[in-house]
Amino acid sequence: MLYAKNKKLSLVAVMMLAIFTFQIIVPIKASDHIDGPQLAHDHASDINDMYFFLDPNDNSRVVMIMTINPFLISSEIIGQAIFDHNLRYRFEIENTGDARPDRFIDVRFTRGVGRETAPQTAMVTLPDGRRFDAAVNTSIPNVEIPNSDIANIDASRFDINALVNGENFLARTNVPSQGDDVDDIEPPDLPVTTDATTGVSFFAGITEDPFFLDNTAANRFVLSSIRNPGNPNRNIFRNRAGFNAPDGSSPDADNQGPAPLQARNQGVNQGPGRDTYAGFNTLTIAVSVPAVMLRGLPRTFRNRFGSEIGLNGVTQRQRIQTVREDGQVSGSGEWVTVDREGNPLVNNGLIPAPRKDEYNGARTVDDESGRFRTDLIISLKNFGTNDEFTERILNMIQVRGDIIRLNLRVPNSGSGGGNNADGGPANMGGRRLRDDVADATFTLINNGMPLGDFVDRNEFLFGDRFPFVAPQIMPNPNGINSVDDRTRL
Amino acid sequence: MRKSKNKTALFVFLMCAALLANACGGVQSATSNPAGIAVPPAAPISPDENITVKTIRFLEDKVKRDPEDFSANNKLAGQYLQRLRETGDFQYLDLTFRAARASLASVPEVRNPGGLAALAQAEFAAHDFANARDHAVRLTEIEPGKSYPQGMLGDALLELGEYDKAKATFYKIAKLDGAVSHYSETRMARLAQLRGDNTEAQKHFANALVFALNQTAPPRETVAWLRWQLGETAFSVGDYETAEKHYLDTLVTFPDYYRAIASLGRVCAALGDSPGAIEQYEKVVRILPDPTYIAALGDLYKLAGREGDAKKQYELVEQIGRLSELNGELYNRQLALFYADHDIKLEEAYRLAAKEYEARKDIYGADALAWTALKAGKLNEAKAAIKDALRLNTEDAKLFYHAGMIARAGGDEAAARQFLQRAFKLNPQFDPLQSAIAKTLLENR
Repeated sequence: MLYAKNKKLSLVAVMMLAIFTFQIIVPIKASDHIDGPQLAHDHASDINDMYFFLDPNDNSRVVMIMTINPFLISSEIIGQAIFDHNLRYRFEIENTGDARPDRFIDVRFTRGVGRETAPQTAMVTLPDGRRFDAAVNTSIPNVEIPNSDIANIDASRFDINALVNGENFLARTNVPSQGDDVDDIEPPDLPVTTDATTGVSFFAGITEDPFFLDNTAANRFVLSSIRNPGNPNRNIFRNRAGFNAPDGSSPDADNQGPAPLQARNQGVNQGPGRDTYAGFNTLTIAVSVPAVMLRGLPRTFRNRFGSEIGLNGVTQRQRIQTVREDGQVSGSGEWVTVDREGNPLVNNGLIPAPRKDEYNGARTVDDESGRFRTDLIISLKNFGTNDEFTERILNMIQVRGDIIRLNLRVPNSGSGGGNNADGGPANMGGRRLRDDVADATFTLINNGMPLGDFVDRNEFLFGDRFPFVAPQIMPNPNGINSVDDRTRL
Repeated sequence: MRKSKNKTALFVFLMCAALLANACGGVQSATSNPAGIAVPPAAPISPDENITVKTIRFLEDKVKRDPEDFSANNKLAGQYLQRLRETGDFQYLDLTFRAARASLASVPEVRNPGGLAALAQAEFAAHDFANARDHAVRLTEIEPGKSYPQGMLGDALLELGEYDKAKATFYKIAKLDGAVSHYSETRMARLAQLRGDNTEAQKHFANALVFALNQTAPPRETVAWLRWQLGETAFSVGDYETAEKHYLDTLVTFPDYYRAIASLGRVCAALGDSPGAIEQYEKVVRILPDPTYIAALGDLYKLAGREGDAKKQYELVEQIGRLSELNGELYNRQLALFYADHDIKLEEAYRLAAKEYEARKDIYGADALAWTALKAGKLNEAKAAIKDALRLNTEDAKLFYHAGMIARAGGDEAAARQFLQRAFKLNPQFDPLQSAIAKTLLENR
């Protein structure tokens, strides 16, 4: 839930021009949430997270990653992993030290309705207006079934994922697995398009979800802060990780046994906590650009060297949606924000439920003007955050907008997109894939005293080259080691 | 692999061709209907079954590892509901309840509206409309800016017969969400049906279909359901050929979709193709032994002179209706109407209908009460109830037929004739057995 978004698509006027050709005037606010399956209207616009860091292989380049449409399971890929051609996925870059975005990188996609349509193409527009196209990696490769397994194939149930375009190959690998009894299909390489003219690299496709968090513990913690203002139960995280369980003294203790036996994360060395996001895929858009393309003129004291840039991600729809004679919906007119994401955990952790949609549809300058300041302060007080840390947090997420900040002079190095201790969010080094932002956030609201969810890293290693994210978790083909010995609930 | 792809395409084509050839009329895909409402041509949509089953396995594994993972439980509940819609198999309803309750036990509703929504959906599917309504109300409080709680609330209110409130709630969806999603259009269609404007209902269903097809990944069952609804609306006004086209389109989208197969059987019967009707109903009861379908099959056997086969089907209706407490809740109304239609256990039929009407005062509940009251000899109660059933001016031949029979029993021959004629004019073959009775009565006057 901390990861969830609250948005809604509000359509107030409908103008029917014909029975089958009509326009809809769309004062879009925002769309929905991720934990209400079958109810959501607008998963495609649902931003999970934004990542923003210097390329550890070349600190003169900036990497920006937007993940969208969460909780994709490998078996759902065919049905769900499609970028919405009616959306504009926008990277808003702030480079003058205030809350107003100055430059934009926009990404749109060709139509991808349906499960078996041609692969999508991304159209990338850079801040100076230059554009290039790039392939999108949302298909699943074909599977070449070995002769020895042919007899095991249930042809009537053969999976569609074996029938889409791509290269044939056999799956016998150590790639992410859904369980102990499966051999997954090896995921394809993440295809990167580099535009020769601008030097910008681009990736869009399905990947493993890089976020890690014990979402259950986090939500219990938030709930505890609401029920016990100023004195939330900080042991919730420990109990969920099994350290105090089962001791009978805590309503949050479970019966999973003592740590580390109950630590059942799929990944290795994730810590004793429970990663809600382990095993899930997401849609990912990643851009690597020369830092000079984003850098601005120094205008404020805080940005006096022009070395600080900020990032806010938004998804937007056009106000007028037209249903054409061929039955397809296309947009025109003004772009309206459906969802936004800057710093992690702000909206879902600190904004009260009735205002979440409003927050998602708001601009970063609205943050600056104080539109949500009171709500943020009340929530922080509920968490027991003192004035000093409240001020620090507000300076990060409200005073200059809910924007991730990156100082281009803070070096980034290390594997998986960088992990040097003097980089990352604590040092104005943006947000890297490996940064445990959940622990950092909980520690901040806990007045600097360490507090975390015991999920210390992602279940899979990140790559060492752009786009750094881990490849998608693939389904296992029917007929190959597909004995289902799992009982129903 | 390319060969496999071609084989699959050929298989799909042959399946579609076979479906079309097997229909009672053998007609082609619908693109429009007499109301002038354009409907997108039907096309196959890849099956969801394998995807859903694999997804369910993954999520079950996830919650086994961490039973408190409310996110996984919420998604799992959604997948179970999806399977319930696809198959009609109520074991998925029980699983939905368990997943939803596990989710809410882990993280309470105020931080877990998804869990509450899953519970309310399960309650709705279990015909526990009062709890579904109450939980939907709570959802509207937790998520006041979202349209989906309003939709859920309106749906429950509709089933409870609280029509004015339902209407107001549905218009809130329009305000929050516009009249542009299949979610809102479907509800506008339902309102139009209830107030007797079937043409308007068809327009809304057609719009809903367009929007469903424009989703990035059109959900197969939703698309199929909307096409089937277009067929149901056409059938309700006696346009059997259009209804048949829509049912066939449904089966192009979703072969073996039980609702469409059953409706195809009914339309075959309406078109006088009794063997075709029996074939379709026999097929559907193999897929889903729903008492309504079994009763219909029994009626068709009876009309075909197969009394023994009919008797077996009728016995099966009761057995399934009584199989469990849950079935009792789900099939209460069907069982009451079955008894009344077949002049058996008439006091029991009345008792079932009256008990349900105490909690659920929708027009079809009133109709069931009226019909069973008439059969049980409680004429005054029947008269009062049928008045309630007709209060929205719904254009439904069965309502008119029941009203006519009640008027006849009360000695009001003119009203009886008027109602029976309305039923006939609207949908002369509304029911294989009952329409024959109505026809005989009209002809003998």
